[in-house]
Amino acid sequence: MKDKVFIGLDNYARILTSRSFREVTMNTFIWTVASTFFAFLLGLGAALSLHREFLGRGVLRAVLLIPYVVSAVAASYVWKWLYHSDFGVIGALAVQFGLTDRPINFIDNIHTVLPSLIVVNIWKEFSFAMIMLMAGLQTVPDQLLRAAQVDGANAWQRFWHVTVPHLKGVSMVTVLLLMVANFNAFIIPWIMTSGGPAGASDIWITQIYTIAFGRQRYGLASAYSVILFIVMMTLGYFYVRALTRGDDTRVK
Amino acid sequence: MSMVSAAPSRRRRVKIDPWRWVGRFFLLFLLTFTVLPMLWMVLTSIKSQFAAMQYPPQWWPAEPTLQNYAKLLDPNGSTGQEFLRYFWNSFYVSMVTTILGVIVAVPAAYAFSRFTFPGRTFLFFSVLLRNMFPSVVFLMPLFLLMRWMGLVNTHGSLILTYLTFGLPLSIWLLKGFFDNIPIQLEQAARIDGATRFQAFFFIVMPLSTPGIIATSIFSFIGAWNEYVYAYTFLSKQDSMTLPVGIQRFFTEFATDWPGLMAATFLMSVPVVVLFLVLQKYFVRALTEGAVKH
Amino acid sequence: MAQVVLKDIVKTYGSLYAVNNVSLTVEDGEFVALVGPSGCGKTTTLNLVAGLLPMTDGDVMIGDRNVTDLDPKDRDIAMVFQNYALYPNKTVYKNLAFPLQMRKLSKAEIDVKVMDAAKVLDIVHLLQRKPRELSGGQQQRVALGRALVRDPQVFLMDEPLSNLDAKLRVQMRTEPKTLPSGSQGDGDLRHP
Repeated sequence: MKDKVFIGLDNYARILTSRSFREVTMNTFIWTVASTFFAFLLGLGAALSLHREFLGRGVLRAVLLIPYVVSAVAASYVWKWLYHSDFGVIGALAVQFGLTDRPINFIDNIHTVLPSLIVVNIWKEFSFAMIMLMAGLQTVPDQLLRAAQVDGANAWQRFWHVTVPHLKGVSMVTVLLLMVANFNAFIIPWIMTSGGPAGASDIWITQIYTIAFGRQRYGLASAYSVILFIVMMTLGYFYVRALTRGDDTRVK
Repeated sequence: MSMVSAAPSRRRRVKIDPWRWVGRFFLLFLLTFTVLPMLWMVLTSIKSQFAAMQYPPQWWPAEPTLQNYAKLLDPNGSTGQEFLRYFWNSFYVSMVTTILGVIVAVPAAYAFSRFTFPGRTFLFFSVLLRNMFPSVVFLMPLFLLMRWMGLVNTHGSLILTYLTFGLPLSIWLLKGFFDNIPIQLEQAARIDGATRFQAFFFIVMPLSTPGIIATSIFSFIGAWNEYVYAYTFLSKQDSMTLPVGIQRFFTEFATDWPGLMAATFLMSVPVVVLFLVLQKYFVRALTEGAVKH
Repeated sequence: MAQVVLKDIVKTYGSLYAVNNVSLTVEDGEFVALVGPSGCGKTTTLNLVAGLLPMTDGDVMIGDRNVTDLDPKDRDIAMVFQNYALYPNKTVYKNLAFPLQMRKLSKAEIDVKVMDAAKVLDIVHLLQRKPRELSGGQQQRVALGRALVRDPQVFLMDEPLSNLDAKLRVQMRTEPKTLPSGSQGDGDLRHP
């Protein structure tokens, strides 16, 4: 018991002033925002394109959802193979189409590793946004769209003035859920790079894991977790607000 | 009258076409983006180790072979034994989690739906909590707890953990389904001579089957794919589940990529099949779990 | 043969009185309609008689039995609900058969009774359909049929005849007398 010393805010001070903290935070920020933004954008596009009835629509929706269903572990291995520095198919295709002379080394390069992982993450989760927004689109009343058409609104105006306001609630929830999921993502960065090379793909969660289970610095890891907790609480506050606001509109 | 209605419809056809084409190209792009990695996984899995490690790659396997699959599924070989062991472990853990989850969640959700008591808000916030916090944060305390209970390296530790984190969502989902079943149906049944339990069992249960299916696949897929807890709680070879086992398997030597691809393929088959067959329910669970309050 | 007696029944929700001290005697074979503006407690009163809600105070007697503490299933009553409450996953036949099954009648007995009720209500051709495939009027007849098959002591009907077409309404009002089996509905509480 003697070696248990209360060190006050030392752990926090050490975390917040360290250089790696700034880097990891920056990575986390890029990872979270970019993944969320593109996943939402692709999901929105897919939902809008799939909203109209056409042959094979159900099949297409199912196929697009498969990445969301398979385990992140499987996805990580498959993409690791696609990105392989010597035999990866993406590098080979790039050479084939004359984009580069030599296969690109995607995940062993500190400049390309983070974007490469973000692509995997988007691949895995954009269809979640798609499904949510498809459900949201179904709540847009047909009558309103027709009324707008009668009033002379073109396709874009109808989308902007009728569809978008109706999607606001569900978009809010989707973006927040994606943010939270990305912020908490562990498997893809862990399996594909474990935060490397040189910490270029280290995000908070992988960092906490390494500190706790690799270096066994539990105090430091706990302090990290608390900071994470505070960020999550902030996001959670907006999440609850988005959900309850959706509630109000439903009641009315 | 007919002229009036004909004019806008012709105009609409002309105006919407470009958007429709944008949509089609976009879907084509997404389809390629989604399918190519999966396709390459399958193509690699039917190559030999030698054929996979070539540059430029064989776009189509020159000598397609099923030997990777045969090796993984061979109950006599050492690789096959291990793989099948992991597969069985995954199946066992997911199945038990799902069944126990349904057994607990159905009555709990029914109670939340039909009776008013202060726990309602608590349930809502436990679902939120589960949505909000990463498993890594809970990892350490849970690991210590499991060690204290002597559950490290047992499947019980995983089942217990998955249930703890899965139940709030399951209950929440099922509650949504029960809420949609009018209470008058049960009242009618009780007047028709059924006890409360019979009314639940004969009338409410059959009507909530879609909800039960949705909840079940959700928890099955969740348990099947879970990695972080399994990675930490299980260190003994023969107790590992697939996501963890697969990793140990192939990194000890130089990575056998075709074998790994075959293994990821086999690992994905159960959840993808389950999803494709019960898609409707899965999608419903997905949207209800997040949107509805 | 049954008489229904409500003795000082009270139902409160917190400080709100939904039903305040109602006493009423419905003689054997009598029709009684409760009339009043919406929200005045008609449905609540019916639910109290049926035993679907716990009573705050008072007693309900059916015949010479005090049923105040009995479960709905033991009160020997039938009820038609405002929105019909047909079991959506069961066919019309099974909807009609359910109360008889719960009372453990034999298959043959059930069949006879269901067919009798179906004939009277003119829904024989609908027996294999599901409720959602029926029109509003047809659903109503099935709901009435489910109450009629059972020869209960009391019929409770929550706005049962309001949407019925005129012809059927006349037919229905005379119905309890024409049902073949012996002891039919004696007290009838309903409100238009």
